Amino acid sequence: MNNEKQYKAMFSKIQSNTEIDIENYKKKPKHYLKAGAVALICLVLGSAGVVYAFDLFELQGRVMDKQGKIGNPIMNEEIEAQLIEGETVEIPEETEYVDIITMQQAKDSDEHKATSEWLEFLDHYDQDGALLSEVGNAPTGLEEQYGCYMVYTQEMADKLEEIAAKYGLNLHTSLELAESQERLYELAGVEPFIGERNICRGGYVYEDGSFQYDGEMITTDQKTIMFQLRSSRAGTLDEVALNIGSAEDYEERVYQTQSGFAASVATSQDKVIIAVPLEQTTVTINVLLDLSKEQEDYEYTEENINEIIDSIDFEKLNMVS
Amino acid sequence: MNEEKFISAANQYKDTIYRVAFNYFRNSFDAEDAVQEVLMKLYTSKKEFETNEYIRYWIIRVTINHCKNVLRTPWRRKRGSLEEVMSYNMFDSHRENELLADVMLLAQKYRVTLYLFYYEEYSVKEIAELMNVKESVVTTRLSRAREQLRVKLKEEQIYE
Repeated sequence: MNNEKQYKAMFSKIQSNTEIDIENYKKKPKHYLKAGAVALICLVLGSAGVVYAFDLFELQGRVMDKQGKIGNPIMNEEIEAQLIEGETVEIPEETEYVDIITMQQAKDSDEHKATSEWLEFLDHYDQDGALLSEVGNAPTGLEEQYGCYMVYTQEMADKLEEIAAKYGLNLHTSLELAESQERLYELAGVEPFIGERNICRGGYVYEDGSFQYDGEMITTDQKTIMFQLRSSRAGTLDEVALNIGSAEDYEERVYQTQSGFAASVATSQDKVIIAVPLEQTTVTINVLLDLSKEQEDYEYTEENINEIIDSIDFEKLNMVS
Repeated sequence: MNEEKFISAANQYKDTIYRVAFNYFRNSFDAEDAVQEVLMKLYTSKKEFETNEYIRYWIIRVTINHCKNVLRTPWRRKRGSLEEVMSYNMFDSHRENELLADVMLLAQKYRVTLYLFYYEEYSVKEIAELMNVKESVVTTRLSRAREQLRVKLKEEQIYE
């Protein structure tokens, strides 16, 4: 056995004693919620920034107006050396500005305006986390009614209600996990809309029929492409948004689907976003790169992307009552 | 991330988190804490659209950030002392206990870089991204880590 193998054999025996019990994680300590929800602007979607509405045929039009930011710690040899010595070091951060799009209708829609306003409020509320620390892990009494939102004080709940009322929108009240394609269809009240070359990896459905579908597709040239599809119904305030980096990095084109819908395809070096506006819902598809592969293997062609679009029956999504 | 996916990912990567954190802290207490912290972030992140490989990458990145944050706080529980490191007796094999002690006596930045390269098999470029340093820094660290281990273990070419 050579030394590298000895190293690996030795480390493979170093194992955590942690037992995974889902109930421990369901408690969702609030300080994680804060991080997680600011990450509605930051992490899930990437990071915070200007938030846009995904205006079809014009990505810029879907970006939110307010400039957001994320702080990236700057580490260097000197700081690391100080840390190793046990010194207390104030680590500087560089600020990065990114653009955010909502999953809602176009920029002038009430849904987009409401989401933008709510995310802006969150961005400025309890910035030092003091209120969150005060709340701790104790129940707030707000979970049941506002479980789909980043709400942990009555003030936040009031603000959310105020914004929803201002734009005449409903709030999400529940979310149910769908662990199979059939279950997702059932919960969302839609006819099967995904083609045979797609594999469902799960999803979840809101009370108003809005849903997220996670899946992958095997293209005719045998590439496996993962994507998320989000169908957002009009009339509801949804705080989910997507970090797109810089909107200026995207090239946009319009693809007319085989079933006659116009899909806006925005492509950057590391992201493909597709949007299809329907009568009562906006469908947004986030094509995911497989970072485990070499770059040339995850560079999808225009034909690959068009194939994904054509694998989805938008007419079925349009028929949602 | 739905519960099924979370449980699967948590079981699959808890040891990865533990090992990365162990390389930072040199003690099991803080490493187990890191497992809990990072898995909670995974559970609450809503980041459910990645491949397994990307989940691993994300988890390691979050673990590194967590460890750095903990290391900057003066109130952290404890650091693995040199004495503690020298008395590692985690394995039946004396050879492996000795190897672990030698690795743990390397500077932190060398330990972590070495682990990511040899155990997790990340490329220099990927490690540079994970650790937020230049590729040349990673190459230098690997080189120095190997050199120091050669001296310590007094063996023929190590990790070649």
